[in-house]
Amino acid sequence: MKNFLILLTLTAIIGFSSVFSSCKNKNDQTDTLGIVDTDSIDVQEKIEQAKEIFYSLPAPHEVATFLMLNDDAFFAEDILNPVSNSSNYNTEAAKSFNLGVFSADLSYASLYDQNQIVINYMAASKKLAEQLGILDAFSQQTIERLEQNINNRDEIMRIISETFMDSDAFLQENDRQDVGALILIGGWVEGIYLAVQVSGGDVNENTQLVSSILEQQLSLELMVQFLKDFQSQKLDIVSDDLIQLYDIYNQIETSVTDDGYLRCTQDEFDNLCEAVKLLRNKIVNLS
Amino acid sequence: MKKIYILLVFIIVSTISFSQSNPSCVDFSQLSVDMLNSNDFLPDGKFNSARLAQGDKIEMYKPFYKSRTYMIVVSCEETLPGVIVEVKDMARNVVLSSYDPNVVHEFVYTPDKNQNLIISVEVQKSPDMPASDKGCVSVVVGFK
Repeated sequence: MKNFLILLTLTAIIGFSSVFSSCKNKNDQTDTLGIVDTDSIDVQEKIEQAKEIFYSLPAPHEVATFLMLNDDAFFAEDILNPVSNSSNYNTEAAKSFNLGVFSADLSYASLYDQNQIVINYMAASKKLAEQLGILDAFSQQTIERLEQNINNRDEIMRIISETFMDSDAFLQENDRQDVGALILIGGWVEGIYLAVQVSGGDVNENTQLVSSILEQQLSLELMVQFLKDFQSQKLDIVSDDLIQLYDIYNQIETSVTDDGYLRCTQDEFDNLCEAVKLLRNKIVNLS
Repeated sequence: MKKIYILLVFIIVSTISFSQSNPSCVDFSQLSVDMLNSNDFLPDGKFNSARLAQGDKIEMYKPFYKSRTYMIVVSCEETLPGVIVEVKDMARNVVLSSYDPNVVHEFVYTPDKNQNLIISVEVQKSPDMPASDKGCVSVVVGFK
């Protein structure tokens, strides 16, 4: 009995410590994805005394909608990351990045009414989310809602959007913003990879899609700034690749067509496509 | 002695339960998300929220594309005197603004070019409200 009471006391002390420690972290650190420590002089100058900064990196469904809801785009199942790969991901980073990848794939599929593929990718996302401890966002109820609305594209996109918001909320409340960042980066890379693949790599064809790919420099600019300000070892896996991709974007001298689309030379586009493919393959081949 | 331990366990359980049921800014942000949904804008998937006091300021960076129309909803809890909002380009030129210190601001915005924008939100100061009181401030964005 005495041992039990000692154990209980220790549990109580640890319990109190955890509660106080998590409260302190919540106040000291960030409240949501991408808020940076304002102690950095560089950041302080830039934000004119803002207490906190949010980098609103585009979520996979936003990237997919922007890139693939496009006159030049079409659906191609063979360019998706196969759901069977989900069992290859063992580390938290691999699971997080590829949860973003699967989310972009399912958003893309939903835009083209690929109902069974949407369900399969939602199930694969649910599996990774569960392994990451994101319990509420990909609930069985969500899957059932998806199945009930499988012929309603707008409603499916709304469910996907809600799923992201729920994941974001869960990760915020549990001080796991780094996981949220990995998911968003994985989703962004997959979104741009899908667009590159569908574009066929020819700047003279699919000019609208090529333009949308070039416009993603804006998102990448914020992502690189975010990487600079939000230090996390987990992000190191892709930070150099993203910076290199940003450099490639910066070297492109875009012009504007009569239709208002951005264009570049074939060589510039080839370089960009190659860097995107390398980065995407690195992410889906993580283990 | 046994009663003390039972009391201790009760306090721990109560503390943990309280900390978990304490409403977060995510719950507050959900109200703004509902506004996006009711206006047929698809939420961009992110809650941007923080607990702030009078005089505090937050900023959110986001890419805006000319092919889309966006709805931005900025809101604060009524424990705060209200917020003012500026949407600025990266050179800090003001693109949109709302200087009335309201608890809710809405903007529907169709950019004329692709650009990263900064949504800057500042909590107003009021002598009529306790300066130490904090409240949730949320910025959510939807698109269509």
